[in-house]
Amino acid sequence: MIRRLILALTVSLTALPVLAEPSRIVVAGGDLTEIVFALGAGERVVGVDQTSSFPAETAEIAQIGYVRRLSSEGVLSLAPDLVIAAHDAGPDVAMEQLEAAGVTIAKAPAATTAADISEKIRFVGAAIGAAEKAEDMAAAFTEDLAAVTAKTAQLPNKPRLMFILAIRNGAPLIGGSGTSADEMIRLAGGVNVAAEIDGYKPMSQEAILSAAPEVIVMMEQHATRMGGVEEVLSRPEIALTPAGQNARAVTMDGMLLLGFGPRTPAAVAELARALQPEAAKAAGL
Amino acid sequence: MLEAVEVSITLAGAQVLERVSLTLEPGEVVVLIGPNGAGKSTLLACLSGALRPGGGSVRIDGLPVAELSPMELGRRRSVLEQNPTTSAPFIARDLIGLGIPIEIPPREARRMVIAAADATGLGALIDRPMSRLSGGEAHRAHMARALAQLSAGRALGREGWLLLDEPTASLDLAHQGSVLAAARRAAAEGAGVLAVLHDMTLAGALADRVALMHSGRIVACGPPGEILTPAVLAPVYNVDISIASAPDGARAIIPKFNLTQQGAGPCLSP
Amino acid sequence: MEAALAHNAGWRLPLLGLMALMAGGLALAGLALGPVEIPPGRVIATLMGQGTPVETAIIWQIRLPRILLGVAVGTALALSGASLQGLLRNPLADPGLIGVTGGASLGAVAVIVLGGLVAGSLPAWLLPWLLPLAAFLGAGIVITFVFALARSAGETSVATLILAGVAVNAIAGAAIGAMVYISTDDQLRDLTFWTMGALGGSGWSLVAAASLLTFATAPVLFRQSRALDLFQLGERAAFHAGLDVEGVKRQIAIATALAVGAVTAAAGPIGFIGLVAPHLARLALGPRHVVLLPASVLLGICLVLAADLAVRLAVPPAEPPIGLATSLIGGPFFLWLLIRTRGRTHA
Repeated sequence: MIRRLILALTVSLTALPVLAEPSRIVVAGGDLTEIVFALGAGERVVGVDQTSSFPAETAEIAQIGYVRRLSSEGVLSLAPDLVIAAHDAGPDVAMEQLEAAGVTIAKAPAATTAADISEKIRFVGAAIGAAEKAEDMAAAFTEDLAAVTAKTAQLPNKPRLMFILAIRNGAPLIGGSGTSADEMIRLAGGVNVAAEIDGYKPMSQEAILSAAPEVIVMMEQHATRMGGVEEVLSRPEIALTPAGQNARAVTMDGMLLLGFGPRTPAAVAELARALQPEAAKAAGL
Repeated sequence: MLEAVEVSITLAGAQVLERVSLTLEPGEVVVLIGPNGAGKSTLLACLSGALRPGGGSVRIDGLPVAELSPMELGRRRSVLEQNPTTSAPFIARDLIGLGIPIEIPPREARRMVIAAADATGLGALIDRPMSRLSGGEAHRAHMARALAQLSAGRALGREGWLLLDEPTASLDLAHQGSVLAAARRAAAEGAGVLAVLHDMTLAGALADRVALMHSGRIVACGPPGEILTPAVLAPVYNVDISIASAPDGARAIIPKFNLTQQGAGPCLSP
Repeated sequence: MEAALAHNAGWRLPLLGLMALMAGGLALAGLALGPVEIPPGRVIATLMGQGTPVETAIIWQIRLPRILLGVAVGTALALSGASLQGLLRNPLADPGLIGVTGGASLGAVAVIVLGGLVAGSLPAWLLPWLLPLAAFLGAGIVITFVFALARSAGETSVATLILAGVAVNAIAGAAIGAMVYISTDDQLRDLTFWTMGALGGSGWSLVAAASLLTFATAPVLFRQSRALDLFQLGERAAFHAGLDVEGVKRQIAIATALAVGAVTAAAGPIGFIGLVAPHLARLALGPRHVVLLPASVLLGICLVLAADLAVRLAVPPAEPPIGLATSLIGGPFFLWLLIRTRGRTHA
């Protein structure tokens, strides 16, 4: 009896809206979309934002635009009963308007480390009424991540990596510490040569030269946009680094690499394999 | 009375007016003549209130110009600028009415516009846009604007002063005549008129008094017959001058240019 | 430029009426049309307070503030554009030219990039107002600075005003560049989207503040119609005609800064309205400001509301920024206008 009471209390007190089975879900945040699909609720998703590109089914779903410039009426036109939004979704006014129209909004916590992703999975599970399934998935996720990182930790070399987010105003925008790129580099057994800068910052040509990265890591989409990874490697400040001289670059799908979604363990493994193929194979990655 | 008392002004370091005094009575036409750079337009600008003299004072109807608001000045005097232009293709009728204050009822304002257009010979062109008027027609439209503003000021009970800066500069003979006639008529109705003119024959035809300026000073002032003489003009303009009289008393001032001296050759060489 | 259609005074009122009808029609369309389909009957019922909660939220919380903001944006930009073009005797003048929009943008961008540094020390109620306030202050500071710079010996030089505006724009642009440089990727996206404008990102309180400021300053500008006519003769002639030239300049500067600052703060910088609306109005109704100003306002409202409808209905449920629509429509249209009128003028 007391247990039931406590359960009821926790249920009613939790910040999360308790909807047994929301039937029309709009998701703003690619990582959240992946989780919703992984939890088997993909067919209930009626709208996704620009960053939701995985799994492939998302291409068939209505697009609600950029996560920080959502149109409240656009979202309402999908008649959702639940909006799962990334922590930075906005603008605030649109969120308020959605709430005023009676839509439940579940704002996911921000994940700053890969370990936080399990929290996100639990959050989404609770929001879509699949808490138990999410609990299992979160546990499995934590296990997977631990297994992968245990293997990457054994890799013999620690390659010096540099993540280039984009080239802005002629200067490469480099992923420093505190970014998800930095975390991924670390997890995959590499060293981020730009760890002394904070966030994504442009880095001067000479700083890049003296950082001497051995491998350049980029998002596939951005590499293509800049004219292919060869184009980036032939930039003067990069051509003279070890990475440029040995033409060593790794490109990965942006959402996979940086999204901090449920595929993160797989992404870590993929990055590690791309960096040290033989050693990774030997380590069982 | 519109009067300048001992007015001095320095512009960009140069003394443009030096203790100039001039009075204008209601109903009279005074013409300012003088060589280029003598200070005629500057004196007119001081009288209109557009320039604040550094020394001396300008009074309009006994009140210091410097203390009147632009609106009040606009009711007491109207001005035709030297090269009046407009960047907008107003209908001539609208342009002429621009200077009429809003206190004048619309019907009255329309009447003033038509009267001013008729006075400058623009009556038939009143509904044309300014962009389709010739240079001379446009100039007369601006003259009509000044006249309409003058009559509006008078309708509001002000004395009325009309200041014209080279009102005939771009006009052919007939239109010079119509503009001067309009100025004369304004004077006949009681306004005091001050006009800057270069053409001394026109000055002689128009003026009750002529003021001759030279190097920032009024060097001679009086009836045309006294000022427009070779003895007075020649030293100021540095040109020999002769006077011809028509049987009706009109006088023509004829400069005697010595053009051959300046090495004049054929304009078109084969 | 040759004014085309209606130099004939008889056309003016019908044309103005037509524009007002268009603006009203677009406002109704903005109320009735959107990604969520609400039949006209339900719209009316909702307005009478008999809508479902969702309908009520859409009509009252989303569409109505949006239309009101659209009307305020159209009014402020077109009226300021027409007034500044008249004041500066430059058909290319708009609030952007003398740096008002640049100042507002700098204020907003500074808050987007640096706001996080001060946010902790500010009361919570102030936070949502931080960006609009900064944009508003930016506009005010710039126009004060530009006019102070252009003023010497009691006279404001139009040439200096425009040059100072160009310089301030360059400085604001450089400062925004610096902000862009130090921004994080998220902030960069935020400020990029902000500079493209949006009517939908503001709630009632901000919309009400912006509209209030706009509609409070609009009469100040409307009252200047005769003064602006006189400015077309040149400042000296305007003074001769009895106009307090300096006073008019001051009033127009202040009113423009208030109105443009307010709507830019609420909706972001929206291009081309201040340029295109007065141009169209002049083309249709001639140069007299007594009709030009209201016509500009009506056309400005029409353009903004039409652009907003376009972005709302283009790719639902997503919504492109409105600045994209006004620039994409306004830019080519303006070019066409230039080419067309160039063929006609002799100058």
